[in-house]
Amino acid sequence: MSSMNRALQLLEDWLFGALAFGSIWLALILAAALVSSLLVGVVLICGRPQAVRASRNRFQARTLELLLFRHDVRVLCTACGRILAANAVYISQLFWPALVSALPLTVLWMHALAWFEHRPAGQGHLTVLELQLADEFPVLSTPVEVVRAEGFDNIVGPVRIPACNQLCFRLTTANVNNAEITLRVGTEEYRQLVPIDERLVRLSPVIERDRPWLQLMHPADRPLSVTGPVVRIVTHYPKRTVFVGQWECSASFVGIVLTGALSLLGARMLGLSLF
Amino acid sequence: MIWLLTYVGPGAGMTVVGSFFVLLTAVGLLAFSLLTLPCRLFLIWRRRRAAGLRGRVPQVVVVGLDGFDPDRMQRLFALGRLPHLQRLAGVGTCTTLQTTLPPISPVAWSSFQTGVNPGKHNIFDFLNRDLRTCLPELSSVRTISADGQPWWRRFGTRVQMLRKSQPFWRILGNYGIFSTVLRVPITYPPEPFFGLSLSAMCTPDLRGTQGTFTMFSSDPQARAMVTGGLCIPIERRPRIETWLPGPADSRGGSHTDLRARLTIQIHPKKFEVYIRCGSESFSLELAQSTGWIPVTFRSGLLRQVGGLCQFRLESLTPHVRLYVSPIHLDPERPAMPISHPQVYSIYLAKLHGAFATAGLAEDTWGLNSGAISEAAFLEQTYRIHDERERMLMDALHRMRRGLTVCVFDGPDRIQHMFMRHDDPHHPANAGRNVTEHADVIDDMYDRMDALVGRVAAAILPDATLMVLSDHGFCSFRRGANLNAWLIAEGYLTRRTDVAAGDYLSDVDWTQTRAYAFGLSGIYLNLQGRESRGIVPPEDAARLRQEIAGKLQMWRDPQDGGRVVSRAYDAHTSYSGPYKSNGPDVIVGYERGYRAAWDCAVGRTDGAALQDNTRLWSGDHCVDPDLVPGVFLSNRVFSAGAMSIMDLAPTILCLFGIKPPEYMDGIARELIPATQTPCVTEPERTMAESLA
Repeated sequence: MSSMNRALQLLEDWLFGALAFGSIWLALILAAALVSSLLVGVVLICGRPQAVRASRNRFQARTLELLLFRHDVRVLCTACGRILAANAVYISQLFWPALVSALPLTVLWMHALAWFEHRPAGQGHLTVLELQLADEFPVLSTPVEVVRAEGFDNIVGPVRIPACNQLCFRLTTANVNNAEITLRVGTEEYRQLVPIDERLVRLSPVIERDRPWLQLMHPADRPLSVTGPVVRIVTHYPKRTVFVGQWECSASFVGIVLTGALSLLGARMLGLSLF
Repeated sequence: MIWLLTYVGPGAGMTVVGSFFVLLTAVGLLAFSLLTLPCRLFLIWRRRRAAGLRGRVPQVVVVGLDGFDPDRMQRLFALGRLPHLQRLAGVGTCTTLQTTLPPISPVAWSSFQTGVNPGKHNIFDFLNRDLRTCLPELSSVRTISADGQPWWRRFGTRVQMLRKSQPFWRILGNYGIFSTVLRVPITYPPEPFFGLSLSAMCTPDLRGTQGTFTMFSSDPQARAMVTGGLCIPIERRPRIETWLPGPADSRGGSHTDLRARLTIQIHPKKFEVYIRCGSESFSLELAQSTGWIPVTFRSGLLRQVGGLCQFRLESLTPHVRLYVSPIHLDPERPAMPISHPQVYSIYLAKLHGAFATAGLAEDTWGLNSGAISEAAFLEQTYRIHDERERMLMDALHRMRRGLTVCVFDGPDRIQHMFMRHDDPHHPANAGRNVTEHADVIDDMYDRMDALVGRVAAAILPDATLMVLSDHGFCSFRRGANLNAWLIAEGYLTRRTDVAAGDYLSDVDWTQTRAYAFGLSGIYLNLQGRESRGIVPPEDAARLRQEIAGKLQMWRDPQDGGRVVSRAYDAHTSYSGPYKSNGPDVIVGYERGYRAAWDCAVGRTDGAALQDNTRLWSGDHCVDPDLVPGVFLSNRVFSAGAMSIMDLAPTILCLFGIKPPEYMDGIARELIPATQTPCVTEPERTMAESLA
């Protein structure tokens, strides 16, 4: 696990962990505020409203040229290229802050999603555990056994799916805080924690092999060994939803809306504009 | 992608979608233009063929330098300066250009564009008088208000062009020759033709005036000095809340004009202020000017008008003095058309940024009344000059065929305001610094020369370049109040029961035979023309001769010199249907004299001759023979003195079009380059011309 991941986890565990017993809304607002402040900061530093406005005006002027110089064959023949070039410049100017903020915001969002995208399995719920094997380990001939299982009422599997080279387990959770299952696939042992909780906890629905980019995308747990037979473990948690009035929607969607609203508010307060 | 969604969602997304709509429109427009192009080209070809058109040049570029003086140019030539103009003179034509009677810009540029004398184009001065009320009105534009009309006829205020005849670019357009006409005086309101035009002189500011600046001052003495602008009193406090007056509010109400909130916050330690005007906020250091700041005046829930102005902090201690330039119409969203087609000003603004649109863009009144310093005025003038050069260069880049005309006002404005530096005995020098800007005018000529060099480099080798000025320049030391002179000579009688005032308000019309108004001359109080006329038409010719004769005998008691070089009888000097609309006697002053400031606004009191102590220290409203313009070209034209009226028929001929019969100018022949170049000719005098 990278030091950046570790640092971000510490920060977010501190931020959201404190709110784990509180309202999901407070945590969402906090997460949205964190992301939007970063977004506004990036736009503040990297945004070039004058340049965006100038490039937009130039693009529009190029279009007006068609109207003003429509008698001129030379202008007509070169108009398309000029308009497209001006538009490309305009779009690139407009999205420059987005490009600059892409990496830090992705990392931050992925960490936030680990908290808000899914909720833990409830007591007596059915959870499916998928293990994707590497191509050199055929699913039918690779030995699999459950070494240890705690906190589950029932375990069904493994179900072997040769078409996908996948192993699946159906786990029914019991009335404990954390369920845990340890599997041996080939010679390697894999331990998967399945939280059983109603509170806000960090979840890792997907664990992959240790690659820098994948680490950023699935930041919650330690990555899998690159030499082992399993390349990915997916735990199917239920989606976390919140109610906005009578409307049930996913927490991550609400997070996006909140981030947008807070970004606009921040930009307004700082007198910031994209163009 | 979530961060992208968040970024796009609030506004950028709509913008991106909008940009694709624009793209879509552009593609549609392009397809339409390409599909219809063969038809349009065929129509132009047929029209040209029917007219037997055989042009000798593909492109003509005319650079107008308002007030560029041939004498000064020759002096600088002798010093080895102005290399680009010297090169033009060496390979092509360099001659003086006979100007119009009177030699003032609206008259001269009207003659340039129409090829006719003022009797045919109806522009005789900046101002004309209402024959019923004797109140002044612009000579080239009449605003017809929709107020009082039934609701179904209230299509808004109409602006009517009073210049008659037609500009030669309209004739070119009839033959399918495209023109770009930038800032040629007396082109407001813009007229339709096959080409693009941006209006100039007489284009109003947002307040509907010819340029009213605003001064915010905490100094009561400075407030008293301000003329030609508005002065808003403020108190010097850390935070000053005030308002910027805008155009008249047509809804009525407690205020007569629309207003924009203005907050001036003084920085406690630095020499700067933080200004918030409407939705714009910026900081401004002492003796610094802003660029064009957009201001919006709301006149209802969904109605607003936008303008542009520049701010300058002239003083901070002990008194705050903040200058705001006249509010120009915003070219990107003009409150009234200032270009043809209307999108042309929008195109220019989008391509080059905001630019000055008012007719008299350089704020000479601001400098004249001390609202801004000479340095600030120069900065403003050169900024406007640069804006115009960008437009011209863009037009040259776009157009490789047809006509391009651009007039630069900088030489005129700078010579008006800085001529005193050239004249050690000028009355305006008393108590003023004469060394700081001593070389401003010569430096300006160098700049104009560099401009001509850039234009010459930008055009194709087979293009014809013409550089011309509408008149020359001289010092303005003494003002002549013609009304006071008319009183002394017994032609004008004042009422004793009315205090002296502007616009002939104290004239006893029952006993007045002649009166003066504006810059150019004297009007007879003619029966049947003036509402209270007393001079019978049969006496008019004799009276004109009598007044002209006496004017030529007028001597200045200060040195015994002549005040008037020549007085012209308008009825013999002009020809055409409108000659009776102008002054009856046109006064050609000697160098150093001009109509006094009071006389221009129709005042009758004061001395007949008075020193001109204002910073407006140079002028050209003298005898036309004393201030000819200049004409240079990279082509050799047939020998002989040229008149500004010759340009229109000459250019028409260059494109192979026979000039219309009504034109007074003579088409000059283009001589092949192998022949001997034309040499500088002595100018044809106005007297010779009239003969």
